[in-house]
Amino acid sequence: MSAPQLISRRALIGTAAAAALAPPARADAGAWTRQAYESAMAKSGRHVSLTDDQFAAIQARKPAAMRMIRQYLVSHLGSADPAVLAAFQTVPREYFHYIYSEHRATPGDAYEATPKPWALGYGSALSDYLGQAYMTQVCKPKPGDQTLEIGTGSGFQSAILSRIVGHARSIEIIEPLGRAVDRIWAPLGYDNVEGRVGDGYYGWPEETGGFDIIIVTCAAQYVPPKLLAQLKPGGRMIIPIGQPFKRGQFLYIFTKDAEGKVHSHKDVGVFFIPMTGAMMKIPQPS
Amino acid sequence: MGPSQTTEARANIQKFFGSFFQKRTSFFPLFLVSLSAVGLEIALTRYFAVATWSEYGYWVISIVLAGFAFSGVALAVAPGFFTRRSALLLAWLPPLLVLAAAGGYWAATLNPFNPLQLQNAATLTAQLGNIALYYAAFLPFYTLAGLFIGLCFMANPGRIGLVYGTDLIGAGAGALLVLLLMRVVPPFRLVACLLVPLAAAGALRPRLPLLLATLAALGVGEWALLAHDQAQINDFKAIYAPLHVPDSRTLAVLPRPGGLYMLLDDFTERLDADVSNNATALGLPDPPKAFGFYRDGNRIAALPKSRIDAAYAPATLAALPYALLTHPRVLLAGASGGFRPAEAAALGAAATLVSEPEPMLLREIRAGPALPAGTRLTPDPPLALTGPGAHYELIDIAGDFADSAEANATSFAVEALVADLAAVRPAGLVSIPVSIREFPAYATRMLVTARAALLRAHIADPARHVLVYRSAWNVRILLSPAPFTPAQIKAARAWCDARSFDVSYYPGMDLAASRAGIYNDLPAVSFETAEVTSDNGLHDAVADEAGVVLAGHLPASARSFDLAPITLDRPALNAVLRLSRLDTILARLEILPQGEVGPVVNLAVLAQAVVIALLVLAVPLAAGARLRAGTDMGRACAFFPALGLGFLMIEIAAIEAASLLLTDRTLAFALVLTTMLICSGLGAMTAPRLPPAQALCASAGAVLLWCALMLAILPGALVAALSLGFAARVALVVFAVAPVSFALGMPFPLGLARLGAGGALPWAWGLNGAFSVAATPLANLIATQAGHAWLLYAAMILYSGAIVAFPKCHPPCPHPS
Repeated sequence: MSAPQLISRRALIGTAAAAALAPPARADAGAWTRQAYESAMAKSGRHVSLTDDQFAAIQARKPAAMRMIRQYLVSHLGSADPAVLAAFQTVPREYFHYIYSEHRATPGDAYEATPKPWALGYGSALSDYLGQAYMTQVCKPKPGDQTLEIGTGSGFQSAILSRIVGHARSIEIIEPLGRAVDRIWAPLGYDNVEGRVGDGYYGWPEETGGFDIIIVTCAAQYVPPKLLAQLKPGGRMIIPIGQPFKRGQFLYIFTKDAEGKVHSHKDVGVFFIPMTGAMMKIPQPS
Repeated sequence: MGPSQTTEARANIQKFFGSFFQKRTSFFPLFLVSLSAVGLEIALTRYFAVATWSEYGYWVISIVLAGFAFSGVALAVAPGFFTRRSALLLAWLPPLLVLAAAGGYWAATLNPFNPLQLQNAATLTAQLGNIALYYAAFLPFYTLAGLFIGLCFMANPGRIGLVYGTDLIGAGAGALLVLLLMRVVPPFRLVACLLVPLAAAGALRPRLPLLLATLAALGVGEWALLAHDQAQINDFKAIYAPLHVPDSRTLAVLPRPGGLYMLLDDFTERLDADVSNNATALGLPDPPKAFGFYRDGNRIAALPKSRIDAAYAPATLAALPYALLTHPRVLLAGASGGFRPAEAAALGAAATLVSEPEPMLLREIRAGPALPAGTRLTPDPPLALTGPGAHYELIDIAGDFADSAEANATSFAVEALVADLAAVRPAGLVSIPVSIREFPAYATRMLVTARAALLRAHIADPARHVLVYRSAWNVRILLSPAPFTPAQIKAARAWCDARSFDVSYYPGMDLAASRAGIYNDLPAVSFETAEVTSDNGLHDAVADEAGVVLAGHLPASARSFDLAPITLDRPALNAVLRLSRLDTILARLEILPQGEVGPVVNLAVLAQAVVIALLVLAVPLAAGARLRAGTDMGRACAFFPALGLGFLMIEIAAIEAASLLLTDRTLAFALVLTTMLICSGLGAMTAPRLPPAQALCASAGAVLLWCALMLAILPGALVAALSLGFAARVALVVFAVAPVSFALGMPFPLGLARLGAGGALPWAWGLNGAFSVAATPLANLIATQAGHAWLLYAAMILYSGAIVAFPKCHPPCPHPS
């Protein structure tokens, strides 16, 4: 058996075992129907109307997208975190397809066969779902974690994390975008995620216990010291680097050691192109 | 002289000048159309630079020249149709041009083109459609403009030199006009201004319906562009977020030829220095808040809000040299808005000379808080300050120096580093920044450059004179005329360890042992194979190659990247892609840094240009015997393309040289373009007065001599001239470019005159335009991939070919004037 096949079988076995142990994603109240979608959209101030066929078409694409996410995580990270998969299954991605600068919903773009980033207006983009699944799993979210996201954007990332962790917070610096997105979680019944508009440089100082996961979309040459100070021991700060429409965004992961010194790791997983069979070379298991 | 003789003399003088002005004013509309066409071209490149990114401006230029090529094809295929209607068309084209210019620009501003999506295969297709919309927007104007100019040629077959000269001088005047307008008019308003001279071309003829139509077109055009302006900055440019955060204030908007400068005050603005992640643990404060200074939507500096407290300075990546030296005398390349002199003073510099060549930054720094005592600020480039007699302990290049002005890239060239090494004392240091945020290969190339400089500075063992250290995102390379001592190395390692920085190379380094202490894991990725090899330990892609490079061997990344040293002949910092490996580049398009996208765009433009050129070349086959009759087609097919290519090769080479001399790329572009167009116009007007064959040989020979002279004296002469005053350097550019430009203007009308009247003349005009389309991206690719000298070599080959390919004519030859 060749190395790639060995990895795949191990990954599948590991995934099945983990699935038996992983807690379910946080439950949502009621089934996700067209009426539920339109009602939630209306409550969030983003009115839209779909036909039954349109809504059904979106849901029909979802299983294929979920399979793609699972395969992507397995091929790029060796396994698919069941909690991450459950979160992506639970959170309705079509709810986050909205062009805020035009006040226009685009649910028909959700779960597209070829994953791609989508412009949301105000200089923000909804990243492709494979990249978001990758970054979510790299964050290593666990139940009870406290997370902070600087750069709310669509709000999808914080929504996903909220299905896994204890509490998710998010800061958006662009005022019209932040004010609009701050209204979208409550209609879904997500009571453990909150956002604000403001300067993310100082983090969320009211959370005195610090954060397990901090995601920062920033272009500065240095990591804000106040944010690093709010990172718990053993916590991870994830900084994606690169323009938002590239499939190849690097992730820089910052951690603290026991002495409090900061370490960084450049995650290059986006270099993997499963279709060509290029994979990370890792040593044979002993 | 008696009264009657005086009267007769006066009448003759009046007749002469009347004839002189009558001949020339009849071409005044041509002058105005050419002025507006070039002015609009420059205005559109400025629009692209501000609204999107400047590398897409090349596409604009190609569309411009494609329009001229298409007009030549139309005139060549149906010359009789157009000739019979030339008076009507020449009268009514100007108001149509006004509408086409206004409508095309307005349509372009509505185009949702997002160039960032070109780097993702999933979003690429839609953007190609948007690019096609740009063609639809701009081609009508430039096809009609080419039609107007071509008709002027066809209507005046006996005055080709005058027509061509008027066209060129008008174009030069357009470049000069836009340069002046850019000092007062924001980029998005330039097109509205250029509608006026365009309308004037139609208003000069004394016919009421035409005048009314022209005024109506102008009114509609101005209404569309001023009252319904849709132009805006792409919302993914750096300035967008700061403009839209709460309480954001725009303190100043400064239109300048060099760009649209904006000064912002908002909560996102801070000094953006590479600061240690352990700064808090070291008891050091954060970098201060600041104003943000932007050019064309890109942030070029932070400006201090008040007197600078640089207590944070010991935490910056750039601070190590100051820890290794005692009260150094420092040459700073780049002031970083004024923060770097304050940092140098806080770090113990005894005296600091600050080079800030970017004129607007210099202006803002002088208007800001006072600089520390012992600091002197100069607009002279660093290369002018490292001549004989200069003695520093430290030459420190700012991390944002390369980005603040394109011309600053020359400070990273081998020749500049050699001068730096000669200008520091034996125990001194040269500190060079490199960003590795997206491509560690840039650090490898800089090490190759540094090694070449050390060897050229007669240092036999370069590996002992280099120390490399880094953060997660940036590298600093230290060079020293003397070998690094164990004490210096120990101090550097301890300094970096306290700050979570990594030392990637020092003389005698044990590469394997050093891995254990890496703070910033940086795995190496093969651009070639899209693979990364990981042993689950820590990695340093910079360290992996530094020792190899400094030992004089080729590193692994040389297979994928062009790591040739940066030189004054080839100063582009973002030019590591091997375009010969286009298949690999396209496969990895999604991971390319934005700075590497320009050459790929150039290739796409070149491919389009080749198609257009072949189309125009094929016209004689389609047009039939009547086009080919009496025309030396074979030679014409070589002669006119050679001229179209050769002119641009020399123009680009002259712009690059002027950019080095003036340290201002925009000024260099405007000055060279204006001089070349006006002087070549004068040459075109002079050509018909001389015997054709001799005139061609003399002009082409002058071009060859000029190229040979430039190859012999550049770039050494440019570096030597950097010490001259600014006015003297401007004069030097004009006097260097003017003579060759005069010669460059002569061959084209001489060749056109050999084609006689009929369809061959506009076909040759279109052919020249088509190969000019190809010449711009081709010249830029040659400059970035092979170096500026190769532009001159190419020009020499082309003009030698032009001499050989000068069309013969079947007797009787038409007299050129």
